[in-house]
Amino acid sequence: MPTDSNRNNDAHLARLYGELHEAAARLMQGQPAGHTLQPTALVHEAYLRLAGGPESSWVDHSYFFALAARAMRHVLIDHARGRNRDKRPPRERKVELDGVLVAYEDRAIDIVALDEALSLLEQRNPTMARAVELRFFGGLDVTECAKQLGLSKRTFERNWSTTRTWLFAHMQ
Amino acid sequence: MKSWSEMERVFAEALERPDAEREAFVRERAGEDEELRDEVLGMLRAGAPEDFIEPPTPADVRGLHAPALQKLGEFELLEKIGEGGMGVVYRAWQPSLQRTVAVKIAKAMLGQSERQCEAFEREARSGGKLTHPGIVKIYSVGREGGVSYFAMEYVKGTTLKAEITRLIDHLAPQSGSSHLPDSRENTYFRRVAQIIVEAADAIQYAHENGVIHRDIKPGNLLLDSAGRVRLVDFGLARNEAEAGDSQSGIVRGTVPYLSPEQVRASRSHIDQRTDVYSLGVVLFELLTLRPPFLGDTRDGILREIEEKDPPVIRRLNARVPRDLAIICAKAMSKEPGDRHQTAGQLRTQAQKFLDGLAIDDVPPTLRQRASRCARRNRGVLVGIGIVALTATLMLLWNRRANRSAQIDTQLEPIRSTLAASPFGELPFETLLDLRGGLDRLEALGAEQDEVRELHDAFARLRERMWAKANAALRGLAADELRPEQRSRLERESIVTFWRGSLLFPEDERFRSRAGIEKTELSVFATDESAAPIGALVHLRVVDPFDSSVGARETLGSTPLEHYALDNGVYRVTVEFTQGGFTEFSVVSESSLLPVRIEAVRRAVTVDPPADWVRFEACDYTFPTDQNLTPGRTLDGRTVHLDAFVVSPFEATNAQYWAFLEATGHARPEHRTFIEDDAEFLARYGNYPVTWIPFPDAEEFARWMGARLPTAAEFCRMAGGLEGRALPYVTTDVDAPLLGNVHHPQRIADSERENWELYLASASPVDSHPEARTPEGLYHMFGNVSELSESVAVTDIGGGAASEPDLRARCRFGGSWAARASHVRMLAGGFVGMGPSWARPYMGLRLVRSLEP
Repeated sequence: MPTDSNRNNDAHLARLYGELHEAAARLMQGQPAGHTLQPTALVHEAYLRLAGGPESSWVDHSYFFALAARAMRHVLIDHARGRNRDKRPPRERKVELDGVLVAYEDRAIDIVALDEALSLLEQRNPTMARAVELRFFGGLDVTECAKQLGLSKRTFERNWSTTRTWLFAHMQ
Repeated sequence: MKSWSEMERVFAEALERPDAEREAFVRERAGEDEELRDEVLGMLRAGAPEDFIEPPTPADVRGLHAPALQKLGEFELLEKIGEGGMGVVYRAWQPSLQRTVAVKIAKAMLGQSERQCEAFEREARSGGKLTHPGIVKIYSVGREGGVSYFAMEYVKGTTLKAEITRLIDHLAPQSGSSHLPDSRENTYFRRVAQIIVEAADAIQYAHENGVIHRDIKPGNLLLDSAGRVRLVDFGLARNEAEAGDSQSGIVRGTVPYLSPEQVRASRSHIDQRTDVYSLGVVLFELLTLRPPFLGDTRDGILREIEEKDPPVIRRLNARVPRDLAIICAKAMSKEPGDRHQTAGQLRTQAQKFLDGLAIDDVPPTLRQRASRCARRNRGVLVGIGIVALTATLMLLWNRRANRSAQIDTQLEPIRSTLAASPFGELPFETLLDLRGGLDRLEALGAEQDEVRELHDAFARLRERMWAKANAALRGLAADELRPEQRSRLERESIVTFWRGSLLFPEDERFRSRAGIEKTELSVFATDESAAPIGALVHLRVVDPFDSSVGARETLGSTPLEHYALDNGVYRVTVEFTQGGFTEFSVVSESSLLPVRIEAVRRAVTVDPPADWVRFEACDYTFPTDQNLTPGRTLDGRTVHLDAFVVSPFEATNAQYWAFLEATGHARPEHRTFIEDDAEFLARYGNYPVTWIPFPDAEEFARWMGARLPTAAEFCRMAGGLEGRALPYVTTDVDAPLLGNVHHPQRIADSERENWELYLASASPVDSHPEARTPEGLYHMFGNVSELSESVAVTDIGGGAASEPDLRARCRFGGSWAARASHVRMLAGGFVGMGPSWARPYMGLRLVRSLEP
């Protein structure tokens, strides 16, 4: 991860939000309402767009995924909060992410509660909080995830197992 | 608040304790730290679901990249989700009923013959009449534009195959046997039993409806989102009613899960017990995370399925509960008659395990060994002590003592056995079963008196058998015996010792007598004109486990006749008075076959060729690295190796043809593929000789004044004393492969094609210098797999024997035909003695001790 300015990060995040929404819209095109999207597909779709665009200089693979996973988390949380506030989406609000959200909620996970537990985890163990972002929101597999965090696969898996239980306990 | 890692430690340690002790443990460990205590206790109570915060998988997601590929009938195909033997499976949308379905389309849409279409539609029909919660429902069958397809229930979830792969990936980084499922996580084995119960239930239902699946394997067992087993893909299903239509003589199904009778295809009958076997293999894989047979080619695996016993489960994973191991071994019996006779029986046993009840199955090793013995010695009866035993058992059963239900359960099969036929006529196998039943009664803590009485009855039987066998042995010592008398006494003694060893495995006396009998050894030495010459005969005992060679004992001079040799594994060295020596590997079993050695002194038996590489005497330790070790039995064993010399190259066709020419020895079977010897040798003379039966290989080696390497010698040459991962690198097992090992597996079905493959794929023995060992040996790892003289031990190459298998020998190294996934330097396989074991990818390398 580049160490440089948060300003750059913020700009990239903003760009990613846009991309994720657009990617979702593209993928949802022509699909019946209620269809679900795979978040990993979304992230990859966004990646392909950015890697081919003028911003490609910052689209280093691993950096991108770390950022994209975070963006995904934020986008989804915002989306879920919005939807929870008002069950009927207001006409002007983007609905394309509903499909992605359903993929998560199919798993009987309350995204908003998870976000809150994740914020607690960031205090306790920031590395594993990032791991959850990468894996759950970014769709990285165990090997990629461990590599990103600089952990051995074995260590990662042990930590992951504890982290899962910890998060689950804190969502009850 | 303590650190995260402290919390993690306490949590992990708590998990290792029984449920009931966890809370107290945490309270004690946390001490004053209430936050830590509450945190860990909260986690212990949480029990997160399996898929919690796992990223959504494609199966969760409808509509991903989902342009309808095609419409088939009314079904809109959305994405490919799998591929079976006969077809490709798509997730599809059925608008009329507004539901997601799976549509399977017959493969090879072009040129699909009527016959194939029918076979495919037969699958649908077989499955279509089955309605069971454990079987994926088939909705409809159709054909459009010559394409056959059928629609079935869409099951969201995973396959057992994916689960096994996930488990292996998940556990792989750990070392040693700890990477196997652990009974501390008792839940794992309970889950396995549950899966087997559900699968067997569905299979039983199919059988009752006249459908045999014939391709039971993890890939065909789906686990739905609720974790329930759903059986799919009746691709090979044979409907009893359409039985006449099935093609005979063709091996169908998926190799590792085929039953022995499927392997034999044309020769035997396939019935519901075939599915029992395959489900047994699935259970085996769940318990040990590896398939039972690991041959490196399809042919090799098929041969093992037919001929080898599966490995002993609890040796692969000692944590497997005994009863599950027994159930599995029984289901995988070679003889259908030894298995559970229905899937329902298998289900019942697995359910008993789940319910904590004693199972009815007896350890099948006893049964199998007994039936093998019976096959060998059919017609010989052991009719001793049976009356006494009957009386005791009847007495026992008539006494309505206060027995637990479990003891009744144990007595039940014994009772029905005796009700079915008079005790005196029971075959030996049944006696074994009774013995097993009695052992079990004892294990259950049946009343002491009963147990003692039973023990006494068997003890009496044991002594009678011992006396009878010894009497026969003494009879053999008599001077004037007619040949038929001798033969009868021999059989009586051997068979009784052998059966005693099976009935009374705890009695060392039977075991040693049954296994160790004397063999007559005779040794002669001649020159090349067959004239007798003088020589000394040396004998060394070889350890059948690690192939180490013991101290030299000189037996005498040639001719040495009728030397009484205990059965076992030896090296016999014939040292010629005029100089030079020849080495023989002698493996004698408890047979009455005398061993006759004829050593011929030739120039090569005096001086080995000058280009051979010399290895000094040393202590060699087998590696323990999982990627390197030839087999767990040998892990870390240290053996002494005497100095030896070895050919830097594999033995060649030119050398072998010279041997054939000089000795008039029978030519290898594949010679029929060679039209012109001279032309063949001109082109392939320098290629490694392959496809010769093991005894021929040894004979050839001796003619060359040499022998085959021992297992330890091969490992030492290939891996060096420093334990190289590959001949040419030190430690990195993942280093790029050099030499002739890159070929995908491609052994063909026809031997003619295999011969062509050999010609196209093997390389000259002096090629690929980049893959040499530092000592200068070529192709230690590739080109052809190399024979050793050492008997096959336990787990080398997945060999099934739990003890050294005296009828098989180890071989090492990859070959031009080896699959990349099987390429580990010291891993090899084993080879039997018969000509059918000779393969086009197995060759040899010549070795010779430095001193006689």
